Amino acid sequence: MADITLQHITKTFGGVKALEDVSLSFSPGEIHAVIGENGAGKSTVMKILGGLYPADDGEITVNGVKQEINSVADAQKLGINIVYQELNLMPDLTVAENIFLHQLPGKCGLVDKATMNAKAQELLDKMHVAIQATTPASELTVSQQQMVEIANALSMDGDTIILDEPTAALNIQEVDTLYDIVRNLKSQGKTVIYISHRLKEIFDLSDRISVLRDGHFIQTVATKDITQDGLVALMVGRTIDQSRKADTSSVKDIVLDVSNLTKNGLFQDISFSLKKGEILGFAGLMGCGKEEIAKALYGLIQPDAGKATLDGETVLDIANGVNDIASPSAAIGHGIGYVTEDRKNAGIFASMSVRENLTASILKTLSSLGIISAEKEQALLDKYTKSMNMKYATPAQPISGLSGGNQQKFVLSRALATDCHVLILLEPTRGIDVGAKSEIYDLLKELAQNGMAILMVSSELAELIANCHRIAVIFQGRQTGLLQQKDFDQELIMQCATGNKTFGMGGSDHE
Amino acid sequence: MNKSSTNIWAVAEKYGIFIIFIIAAIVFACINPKMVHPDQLFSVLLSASWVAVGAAGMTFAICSAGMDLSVPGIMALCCSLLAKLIMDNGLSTGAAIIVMAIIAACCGILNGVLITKLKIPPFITTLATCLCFHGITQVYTGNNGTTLAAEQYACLKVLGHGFTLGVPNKIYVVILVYAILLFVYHKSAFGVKIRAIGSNETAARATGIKVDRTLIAVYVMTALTAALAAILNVATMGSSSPKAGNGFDLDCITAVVLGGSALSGGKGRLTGTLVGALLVVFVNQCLSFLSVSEAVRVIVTGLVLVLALSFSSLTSYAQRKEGGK
Repeated sequence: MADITLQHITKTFGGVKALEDVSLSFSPGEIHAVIGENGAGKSTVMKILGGLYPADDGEITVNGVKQEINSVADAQKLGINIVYQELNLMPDLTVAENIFLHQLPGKCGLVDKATMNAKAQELLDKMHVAIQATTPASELTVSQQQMVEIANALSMDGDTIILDEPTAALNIQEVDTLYDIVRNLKSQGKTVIYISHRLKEIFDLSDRISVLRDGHFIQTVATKDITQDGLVALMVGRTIDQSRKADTSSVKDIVLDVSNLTKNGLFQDISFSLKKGEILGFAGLMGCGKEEIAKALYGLIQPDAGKATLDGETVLDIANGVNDIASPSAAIGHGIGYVTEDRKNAGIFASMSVRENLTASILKTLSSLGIISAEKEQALLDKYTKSMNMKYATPAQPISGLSGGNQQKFVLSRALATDCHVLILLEPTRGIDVGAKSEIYDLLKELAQNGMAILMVSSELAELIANCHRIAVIFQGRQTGLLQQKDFDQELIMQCATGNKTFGMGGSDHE
Repeated sequence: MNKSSTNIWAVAEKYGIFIIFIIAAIVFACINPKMVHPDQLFSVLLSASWVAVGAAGMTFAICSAGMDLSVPGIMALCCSLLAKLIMDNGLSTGAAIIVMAIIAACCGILNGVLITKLKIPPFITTLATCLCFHGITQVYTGNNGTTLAAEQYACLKVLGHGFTLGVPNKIYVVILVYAILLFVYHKSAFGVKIRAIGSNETAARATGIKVDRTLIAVYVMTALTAALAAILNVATMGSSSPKAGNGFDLDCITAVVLGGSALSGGKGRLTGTLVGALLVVFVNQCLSFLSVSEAVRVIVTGLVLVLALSFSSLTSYAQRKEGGK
């Protein structure tokens, strides 16, 4: 049992106050959600609690005893275990080895594999996840990796478990499994600290909610005493309309027409058209192939069959050996922009400045005779800083120091800077806070109104429903639905996404 | 914890190479003050010229998260080519340099194509091609050196031993190379692309950067700096030796690492490399001054490298711990 109290915690990074006088308390047997926009300081608080950073000021007491937490080992000794948002499994080790890496069972430096595998399997079975303990981690899907990370934290058997955005990579059934795991921990009297951007989960699960904003502690409320709107208002200090739909007046002629696009083993016979000024959504469960379809149109995956025309010109005709969009640089040349779903590994240049992260896509335009014009670079940065409302200290600041929302704005600006007229977005708001999300939605709306054709792949149905003009649904690599705005319905999309139904596939798409 | 202590580590990281240099100078001065006599230091400056030039190119390879171990082979080949083209084929110095540079560039293209198209790791590719370049040099020269006759040497001698305004011409070459490459690193599209690739190759590709083309250019660049190092070598020696490049790769890589560039790529530090090259040559020269055995010399060089690496990882660790978010 652990009563954890943080008092007057302050933390500064290079002159910027990340936390100021934050006081929180967590009780045994409760699920305590911590919520706030990106940059609000939730992750910093958790990292202080987990021993990754020392606090500058303030004190932490566990069961009434003042404690110094200076390392991860200190935190683990106090029974505090964190499941981080980033996945950190070793791909070449098995699931069991990953789970017990912190303390491999055995004697004299020899690992008792049988015991380890049995214990790991028992843990996984108890969690009701269908993963073999002897599988190499490299063969797991992203959501399975997330489950193994959770198993790893549970294996330490601490009294306090911190889950940082645990559902970011999970599909709906898996979220249910996670709910069970979390509730089970609660019934064992453990303290669960739950960080998420998804309000629904917080209301489903938590007993109490603590809100942080701009590094300050705002309030702790009992979940039953607050509404979603009230919570959002506490987080951002303003209200956000969550029930809007996109305006269809901007939708015009077909820009991109794709037919029978196929990549063996990933997706088959995908046909759709994308119109000027339209936001076309792609929905589907994790692993259904929706990301791969988008990647095939940006030269990251080479399709095995299919045709595509862009502005009436054939850019892809595999049967006749035509693939003018076989690489990202070729796709950019045809006016296609792209934003990755994996910001950390495929989006940002972590060690480089915010300025260079913006300009990397159009170095040619910015330079003459290979030399970059500092003025043009600055002008571009100024333009997007303003239009995107980006926040950073200096143009030379490494991008790794920005919040997820600001990083995403840079990655998006980089794509827009290429002057694309077709924009492919994968999970455009993954891991970013409510405020930045709403800013990005506003921006997409504005882009569409100005004639951008947007293909948006997302795992968040609410986001697709609120922003798209049409939604295509993919199930196991095949298209099972194409919904017009009047048909938008979460239930219907899920029916198509799970293969229970097909909808709107009568060829009405191709006028 | 607070701003000032973070800054101390940042300063330490940035200027660590100078600190190490000063420590090394003090240590050697204590052993024998003659080793830090201005004449000695001046001769360090002179003998460092080809390592400095080679290390400048190596900085770009390392910044792209790669490495070029074939520079000794290219340098040996270029030394022999230069001398033999002049002496055996009767080419003028200028013509010989052009032919040599073209062949060096081809060596670089070969490295780059193997690395990018066949996707063999740079370390392995260049280790293998280095052997080939050495072998070709031996076949070409019959494993013999070539000495330039006085008449044919005249032109290169001006470069190797001449002075302009009281400063050795070799120094101008080094300064020019660093001035150009610093500009390329910071101001050119090519420089940004290299750093982007070294920082995150996947993202660079997705951003539309032509990764393969850029990397091939990087290996052409290391080959050309090795060729320039060969010119400086022949100009100084007045002869070529098929063993000219021995240890050149390690000296260059040591200089780059001492200078504070990250072996993981994305962060190159050219000025650091220059000081690193001077330090490598300084330590070598002091040790030969002390007439210690080759074995001791290798041990000391290794220790300096370990020290520098511990220093850089210590400072970046301290900064990460206090600074990162």
